[in-house]
Amino acid sequence: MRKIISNHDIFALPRFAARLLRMLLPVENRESVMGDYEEMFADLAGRKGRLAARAWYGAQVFKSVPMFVAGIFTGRMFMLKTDFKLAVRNMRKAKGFTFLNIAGLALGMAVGFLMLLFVFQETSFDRFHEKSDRIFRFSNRVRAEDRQMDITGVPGPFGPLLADTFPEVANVARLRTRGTVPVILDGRSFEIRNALYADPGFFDVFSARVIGGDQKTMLEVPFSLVLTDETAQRLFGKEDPVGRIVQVNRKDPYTVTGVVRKFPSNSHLRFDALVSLSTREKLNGDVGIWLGFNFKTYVELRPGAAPAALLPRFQEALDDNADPAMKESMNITTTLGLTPLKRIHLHSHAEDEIVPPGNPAYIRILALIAFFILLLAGINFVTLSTARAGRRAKEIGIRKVLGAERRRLVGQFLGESVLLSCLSLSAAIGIIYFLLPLFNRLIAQDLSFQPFRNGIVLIGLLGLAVVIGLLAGIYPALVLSGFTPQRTLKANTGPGRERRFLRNGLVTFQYAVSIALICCTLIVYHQLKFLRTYDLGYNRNQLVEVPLLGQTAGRSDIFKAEVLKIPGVQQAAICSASPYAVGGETLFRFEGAPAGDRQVLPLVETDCDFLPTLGLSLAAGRNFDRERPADQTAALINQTLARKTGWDNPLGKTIYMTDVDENREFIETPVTVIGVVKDYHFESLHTPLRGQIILNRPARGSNLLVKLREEAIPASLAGMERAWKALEPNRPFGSKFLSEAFDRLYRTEQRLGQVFIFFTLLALFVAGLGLFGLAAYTAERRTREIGIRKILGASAVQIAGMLSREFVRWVLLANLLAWPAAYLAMRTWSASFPYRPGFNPLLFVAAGTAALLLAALTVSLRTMKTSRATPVKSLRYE
Amino acid sequence: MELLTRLEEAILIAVLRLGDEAYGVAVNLEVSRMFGKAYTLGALYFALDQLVRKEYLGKRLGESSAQRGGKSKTYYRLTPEGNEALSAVRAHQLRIWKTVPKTTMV
Repeated sequence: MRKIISNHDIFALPRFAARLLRMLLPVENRESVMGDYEEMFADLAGRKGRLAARAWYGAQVFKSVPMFVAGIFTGRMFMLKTDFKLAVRNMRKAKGFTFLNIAGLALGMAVGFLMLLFVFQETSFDRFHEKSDRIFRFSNRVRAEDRQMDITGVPGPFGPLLADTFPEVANVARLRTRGTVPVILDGRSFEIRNALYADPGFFDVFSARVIGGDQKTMLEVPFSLVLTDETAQRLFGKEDPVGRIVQVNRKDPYTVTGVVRKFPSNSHLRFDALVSLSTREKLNGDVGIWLGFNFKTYVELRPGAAPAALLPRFQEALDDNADPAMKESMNITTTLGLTPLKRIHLHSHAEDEIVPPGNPAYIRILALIAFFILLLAGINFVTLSTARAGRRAKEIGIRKVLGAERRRLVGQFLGESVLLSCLSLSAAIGIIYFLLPLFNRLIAQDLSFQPFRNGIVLIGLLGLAVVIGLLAGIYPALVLSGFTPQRTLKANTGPGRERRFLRNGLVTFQYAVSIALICCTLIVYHQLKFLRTYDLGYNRNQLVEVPLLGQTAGRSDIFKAEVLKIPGVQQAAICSASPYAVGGETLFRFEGAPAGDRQVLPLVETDCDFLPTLGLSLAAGRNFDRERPADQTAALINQTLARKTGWDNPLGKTIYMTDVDENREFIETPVTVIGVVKDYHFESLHTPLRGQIILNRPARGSNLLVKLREEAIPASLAGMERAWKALEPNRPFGSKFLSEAFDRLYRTEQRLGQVFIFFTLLALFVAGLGLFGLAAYTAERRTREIGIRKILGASAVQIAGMLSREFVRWVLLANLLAWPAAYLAMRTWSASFPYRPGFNPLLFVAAGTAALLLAALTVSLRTMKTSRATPVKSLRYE
Repeated sequence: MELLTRLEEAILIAVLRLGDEAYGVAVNLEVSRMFGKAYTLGALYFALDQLVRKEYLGKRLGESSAQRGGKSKTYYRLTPEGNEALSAVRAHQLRIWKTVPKTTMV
């Protein structure tokens, strides 16, 4: 092109200026604009000499720079406008494709964002406290004989001692749970659900927003009550509650001394009211003693203090002051730890946490699954876009012939995918609103989603959408823009065939993930069913439990006698624990063991009807006998314990039970073993069977266990309620069936199963969308072939089969990938159950079959349409 | 319809007047003469591109010459839309000037 046929020296052009000009000019103008410049340059050189011309040229180019730059930008804007128009047109032309793409991506995004919400919530716990970096809470590992517990309580005086003796400790706060507080205000009664005892240090350590009252004094005086704004609103409405007096427990007057803003939901402390700790001292007098571990103690360290260095000194202080009775006669050791405030929610193992702690493993599983679903959605996008390449190849070829640069095509395709991704985002926001209540129930959380109230969240979401659009679009963009015009325009053999391997690989991956999820779901439900139907050693059907309160607890013998008069009642027993949960544990010493050798064992205090009510039988000896007064000090043990003691014949042996008397002294009470009960499970099946002692002490019972006859159960329940009302009219009658209570033990597993179902369905749906799109693509490509086959006599079913066969192969391959993955993923989970069903390969086969059937259905939905079309139409195609 | 700017108007008139000879250098010369000052080519091309985008001008690639270092010329031509835009400006001018009494004009 650049032939030099000139009568002047072209190299006389200022080189730098010429190059600058070339750089600034868009391709379509470059040639003629530079020509114009040169023409004027030549003209000027002829009239005024070369030097003047050069000066003019340089100046011209220099002066033109801003305008050319502006031209580039306005040109871009214009191109964007055309691109946008093109993108919209393309989407309209392929409505099905667009729908599949947006639906898949929107679902993936919705799940991903829901998970992000959850993860943010779980990891943001307690960060709202100003000094959260310097606040620590004591954890306490209590070891007594062969058993250990992780709790959060330490003795009451420990906190003040630290504040007095350690200069590194800036402030100390002590809390103790108070539970539900019944309140009477102006004759109306209320319940304050979660109340905490707190000392005045509460406001020094935590960042609580005080709305009313004096922060410094509101927790000082006994019988002070500090309400959260929510509780204050419920009790007092719009009135100012500060200074008002309420009746607690029908007797004590408490003064409302302050109102604080309720803590947000991402706090490990949840309370509706605070009661001054001095109240506890007035009521129980146990705040100042070193016995027991009941006070959650928080320390705020001074800046620069190292908690790791302080901990041994804290431990020393505790050991020096520990109650001698606890150390010597109970042989209890305690090990302190300091948990940073912000780590409490996710890293505490304590059994007495107010808000159930989060589970990092659980969060990781959920996040991983969500990531996979988002990945599946992204893969959908890639497969669908490349599959459509054949369709768009012509467009690309023609655009290239007309001079489009590859870079511009890439930009256009990326723009299209970002546009799709942004459309998906708006759909995703709708889906999130729709799914959030369900999701909250699944994960037992109270998340809220308000992107339109928080600009940062919205911008973040948009940013994510753009990133997802770019990531999902980069591969199709590079592939599509790389087509050479000759090939795309030649004939029907458009490109895209050689990408088949990649596309099929991606679909296989999608199905592998889906199948693995189905496997996990089935494994969880298999385990759950096993737990629910496991033989516990007694029949829990028609067993009802009635918690005893007030008069029915005080005179449980009368209540039991009344209940036994009801015709529908078969048996009844008073006992201290439910048959599915350990009610209490005590220290025991076996006959023949040295004085210090004590064991912690679960016990149930009940009467002689316990065995018949549960339907338990004896392996040796006899049951308690009402007629023998000596049986007051008799005991039954289970087979496991009998084995553990090592006695040849446990009957007649003595076990010494350690009790605490009124003066907090330890005393040993001997009981004689009169029988061995056949083993039954008295705890959830999460723990293996342990030894148990059954004592004949009905006076300590807190529950009435009733075995009903199968017929007329509602009448029996009504009769029990009447008996209750006659004895204790002021307290409500409550009863629960053991079979229901038992199911509740496995709520965690149930929830995990539901979460898996939720995610599995989503994954299957997304994978289904992708497969559907791919099937549509294949069917379209083979339109002519199908027409010819039909003419030659193939039936619609045969053709559908032919089209589906390929996908079936890939889904089968996906099974091979999914099975080991699911097995490995669930192995540790399964192993955590002492009682579990054997590994059942049928579950995996079932998962594979389900996925295969779904895939076949999806594919045939699309292929049947093509195979049923008349050959005339398909042969005319294109 | 958006009205043309002064420069755009001048360019369209120049292209109209130049007929088959309307290419960059000629248009620049014509416009510079109209306003009595030299326009840089850059400023001119910015406006020319806009006019092409708005479809007031059509362009075609022409012959090259030795003087241009062998580079071809781009010839511009008024489209019917361009014509319309020009008359719209004119009509607008006349309409607003009509509202001013002749006696007040300096």
